[in-house]
Amino acid sequence: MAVASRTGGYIERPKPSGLADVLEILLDKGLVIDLYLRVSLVGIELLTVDARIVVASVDTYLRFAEAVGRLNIEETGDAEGLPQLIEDMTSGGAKSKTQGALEGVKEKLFGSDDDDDDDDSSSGQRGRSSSSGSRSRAARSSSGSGSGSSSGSGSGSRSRSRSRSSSS
Amino acid sequence: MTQPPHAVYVYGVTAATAAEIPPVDGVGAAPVRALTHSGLAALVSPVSKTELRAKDVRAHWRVLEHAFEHATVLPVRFGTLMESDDEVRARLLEPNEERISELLQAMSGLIQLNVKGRYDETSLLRGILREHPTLARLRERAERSGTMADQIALGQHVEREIERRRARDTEVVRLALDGVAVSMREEQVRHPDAFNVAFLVARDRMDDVGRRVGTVRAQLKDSVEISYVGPVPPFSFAEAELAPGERVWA
Repeated sequence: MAVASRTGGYIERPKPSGLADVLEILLDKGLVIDLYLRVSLVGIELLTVDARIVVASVDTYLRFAEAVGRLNIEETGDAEGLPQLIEDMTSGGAKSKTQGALEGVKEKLFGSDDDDDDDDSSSGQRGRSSSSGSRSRAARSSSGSGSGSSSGSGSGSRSRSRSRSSSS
Repeated sequence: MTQPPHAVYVYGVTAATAAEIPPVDGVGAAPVRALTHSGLAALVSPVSKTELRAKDVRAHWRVLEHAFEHATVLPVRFGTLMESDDEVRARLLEPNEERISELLQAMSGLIQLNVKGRYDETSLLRGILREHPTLARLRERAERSGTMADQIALGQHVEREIERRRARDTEVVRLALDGVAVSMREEQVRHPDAFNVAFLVARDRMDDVGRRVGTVRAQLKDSVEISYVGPVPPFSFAEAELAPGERVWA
């Protein structure tokens, strides 16, 4: 393509793999030793699971419909409506919910060093992980068959580890 | 609670000859060791707690990052505990020796990189509407009737079109990397992410890869924001489930 020749001399460098960039990979990939214990991950696992649950659910459809509907209004009003539109979309609906959860994870991972103390199982954190847990369940049960294919084999091992850690 | 008081946290597996102890603390600030068995070494540290926290994710990454600088490492998934050193040898290294050796061999000299793409939702939706007059009709209908059913129908169509775009844009990445990547994998993504392609390349092909990623960025610059991340150990290509021997953990 013409584009290729235009960028011919240009070599991209990857971002150095800081923890933030590899977080998803880190939590979700790697060798799995079947049957062995994965310990409970306070405030980490549930949140990441929650952040990933965007399945082909009615909620998703409605949100897209709403977003498209707003585009309609925006097109007639043109440029001036745009900032407002973006703001609306980032502050409403499923997107902000999942982003919130993900930010929660990042905050825990990259927060201040005070966070590092072993007594950081503050009530806030526990509250967050348990409420996100119930949200996950709700999202899953309302999502029907779509959720299985979307969350893949990873969720199998996660739920296994969770039940193991709570029963032992 | 009847948790075992002491367990062994497992970070990854490498060839015994290449096992250098990373000069960093492991999970719970414990020292990292290399447990060897035949030609293999498992990087481990003692652990006594049963809950892992954010800083433990950092520790896991720190250990692997250091080990990966000097050797080919197969990362073990975060949060994997075994009961004792003996068990790591008898249940991880021994029964899977052949499999792990093969994987290490296959990954030798290779690094994982990821190219990720993200849509701007507004321009994505606008583009889709422009391209598909059917959607414009569905949108009008949904607006007029205001019924849930029409809204859902509209949303379903939009989602289908987004899926189609994802497939199309992912193909751009695949084509660009074809020929330099030893292996490629599409990771699952969620809206508004367009794709996340993990690929394995030889360390000394970074310039070639960089040029190709530049091409992808140029080709998709109007619709997708690209990030290029790595190198990391071959996480996405070491996803095998290893069979443990007989389970001994009561």
